[in-house]
Amino acid sequence: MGLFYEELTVGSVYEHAVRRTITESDNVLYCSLTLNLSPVYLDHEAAARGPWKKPLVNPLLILSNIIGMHVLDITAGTTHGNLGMTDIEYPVPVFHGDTLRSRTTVVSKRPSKSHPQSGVVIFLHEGINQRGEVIMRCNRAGLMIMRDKAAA
Amino acid sequence: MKSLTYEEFEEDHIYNHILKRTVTESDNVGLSCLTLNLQPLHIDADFASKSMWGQVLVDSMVTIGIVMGIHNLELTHETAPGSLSIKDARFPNPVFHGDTLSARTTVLGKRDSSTMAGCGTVDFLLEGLNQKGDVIMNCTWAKAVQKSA
Repeated sequence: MGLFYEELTVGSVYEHAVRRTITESDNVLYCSLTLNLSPVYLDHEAAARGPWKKPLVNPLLILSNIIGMHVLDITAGTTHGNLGMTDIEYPVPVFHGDTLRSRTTVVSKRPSKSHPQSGVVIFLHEGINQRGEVIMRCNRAGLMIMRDKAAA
Repeated sequence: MKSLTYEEFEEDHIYNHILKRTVTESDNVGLSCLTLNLQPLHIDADFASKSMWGQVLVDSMVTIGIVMGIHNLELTHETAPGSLSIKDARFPNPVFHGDTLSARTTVLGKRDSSTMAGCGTVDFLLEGLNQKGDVIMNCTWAKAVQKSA
């Protein structure tokens, strides 16, 4: 189970235990199911002629995984949903075979103006590869449940 | 579908995309688990039935993926050599199993320079809509688009 609004402290940093080696299978499946058939990700011949010389992992798959990794520690069962992300950056490209892990910092929190027993919490999510490089970061607003509501 | 070059994009032009995709339980549960998002709102129907939504909620990452996929396939499949992604995104309305998503792109602006050789930069607003015409996702970003040879 995750953490309710009251249990989140601004400034807390979580290093998540769930990690993942991103495989070619993940990338092909994700691109195919989401209709993103860009040759940058799926066409090895075209990718070999491109700037990275090999296929890139779809950055939306990376975003999904890095955000996914925080769920069991922080938001499983304790959120109403994702309000959105800002400042998404990809400082380093990700390729098949990279191993990713994730780190979350609680940036800020405030009660929700539109949902009486919920709060908006801003998280900083960072994805890190096997070399310790930050490969992705974003700020995300989650609508978190206040514990009093859950007990009601 | 013909991919557009940098020169062919005009400021304020709106593209209502043709492709649509019904989001199924298989998509949501499969992609949530594939991306390690074990949020019970997405994968536990019993839990979700007692949530504020009353049913399973589609993972917003699935939504972004599909809407972006439609946009890229119809506009820049062969002319976007860079890595595609968004700077920000918002989810004004929820998506549920069985909703059919479509996409709409607006060109916000363009400029000649780009970090990628042979490209200009186009600023897009991308919106995802459901079958009722509600906007379920919107995002903006700057994309490198190939110039004509």
